[in-house]
Amino acid sequence: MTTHMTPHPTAPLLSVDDLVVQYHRPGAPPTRAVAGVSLQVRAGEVVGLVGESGCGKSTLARAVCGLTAPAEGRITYDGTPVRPLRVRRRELALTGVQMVFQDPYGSLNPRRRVGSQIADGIRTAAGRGEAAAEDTTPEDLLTRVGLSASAAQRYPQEFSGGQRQRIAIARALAARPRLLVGDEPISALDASAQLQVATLMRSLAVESGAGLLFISHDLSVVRLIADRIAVMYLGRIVETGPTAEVWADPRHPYTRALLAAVPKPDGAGVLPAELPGDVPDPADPPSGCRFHPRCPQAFDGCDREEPQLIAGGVACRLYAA
Amino acid sequence: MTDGDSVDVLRISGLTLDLGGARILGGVDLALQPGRIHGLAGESGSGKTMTGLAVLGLLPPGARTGGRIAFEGTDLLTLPARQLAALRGRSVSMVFQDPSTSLHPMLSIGHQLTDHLRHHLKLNRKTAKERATDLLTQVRIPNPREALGRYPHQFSGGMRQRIAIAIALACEPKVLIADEPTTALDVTVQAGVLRLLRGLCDDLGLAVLLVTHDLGVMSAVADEVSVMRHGLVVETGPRGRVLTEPRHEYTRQLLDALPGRSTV
Repeated sequence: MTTHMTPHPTAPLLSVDDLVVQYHRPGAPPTRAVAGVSLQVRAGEVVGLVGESGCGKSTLARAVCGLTAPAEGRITYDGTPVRPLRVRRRELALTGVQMVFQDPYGSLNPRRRVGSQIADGIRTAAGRGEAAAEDTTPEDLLTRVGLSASAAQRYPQEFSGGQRQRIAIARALAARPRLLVGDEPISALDASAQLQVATLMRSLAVESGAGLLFISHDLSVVRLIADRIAVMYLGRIVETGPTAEVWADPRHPYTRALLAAVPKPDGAGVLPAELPGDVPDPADPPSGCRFHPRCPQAFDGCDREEPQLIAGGVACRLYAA
Repeated sequence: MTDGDSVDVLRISGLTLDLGGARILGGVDLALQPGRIHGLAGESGSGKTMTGLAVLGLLPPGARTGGRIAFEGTDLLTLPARQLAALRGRSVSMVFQDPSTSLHPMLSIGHQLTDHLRHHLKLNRKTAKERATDLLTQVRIPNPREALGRYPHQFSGGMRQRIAIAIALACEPKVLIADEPTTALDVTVQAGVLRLLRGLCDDLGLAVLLVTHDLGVMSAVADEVSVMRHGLVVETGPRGRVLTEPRHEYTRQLLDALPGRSTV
């Protein structure tokens, strides 16, 4: 068992500052999918990023991995600025960030054996000078993710969705990431496999001392595996804090609405609370607080002033200092 | 099981299913009543989905069935393919888990809805379009008339699932099989779809078989709950009783395994 040492245990492993990511469409103003987000992930920490679809979670994840170029702001991984990936291979230092994608049917190469795809990751780690990587075999990694070693000789299509996602995790781990990013890694999986894969990602990340940015719309899973939670709405983080605190005492009206929408298995037959309205078009976000048109507690001025994330971890004028 | 058998619109009795030499279902009994939602829970591989598919005759090739699935007295298992096809999508319809794959990506929403209406109900183009607009209104799609000309990718996941529900409801079916209809959706959107399902069930007297692994969803909308394991129903009863005082050890285990078990 190798434990990676962090140079500064208190310094965040990943630091995202005022990040803005825009998508351009011909004949339309740019869409700010991520509109000024700051977020930190420390080594050994699991941060759960939640929010409705279309809120920019995946864009943020892609930017963190250098797959989408930011328009403004800064992303640093372990002191290295994350520069967007171009035709050349990734900078070696940045290969310490690895991603597990949503769809294991699309993220694995169907024409290569599982073992050789995992071996790519091992070579990446070795190329970065991780001495221990040399002794790792794809078989070891497959065993770690709960598959049999013989899986290395087989092709992705021979596996179920949950098993493929385990292979994708093994491949990401092969590169000895210090930051693992999971972009909805469980949402394409069969319901019963979801919790297993999520807890597996957590334990493997924490075990190796890596940070995990786990993006999901499934609040009950995030609650179970994340140390810290960040709630995103329409390109902005509206609330962040330790998972237990946010769960016990959600402060932002949006977080409250999200939590209230989770149905409870108490047999009472209570329909979960509905949040009226849809997520607005990010190309044309509401003025002021982006949540104000759907907010049950909006008051005078919410449509004009855009609240900032205050030290207490909430961006809402109800909590203005 | 309910006492009054006469009101069962769909009654599955002793349903067995063998597939490739393996026994998938080992004698399933279930009954659906109009205006009621019957939740079917269980882990993947327990046979929930297969039970739903068996009702519509959509089982994989080579499946061998036994027992009886009586829809208003007619056994669907022995019904000739042609007659079953006429029932399917009309009297008994289905909503699948993933609305991005259950809708045709290359056809407009209007095309998909009206095709269905014209095929089953022999409506003319104009009436079909009107009915399609009504259906979209019923499932609360904004600007329904305009939505008819749009394609699935232009809608959000929740909207797509509402559209899939609209298509399933197009011919005023008596039975709706909903297989994990909200699993792919955000919780806020799920809340809306659950309310919609509950409302449609109450207003239209629809009998719903809701297949879901999510006991929270079950608790929110189901009237009766059946729990499946290894191709058998191990427990059936009113929602409140099954979820609070489970009698079967397996139901207890399922409840204990829940991440969101403790109330907020």
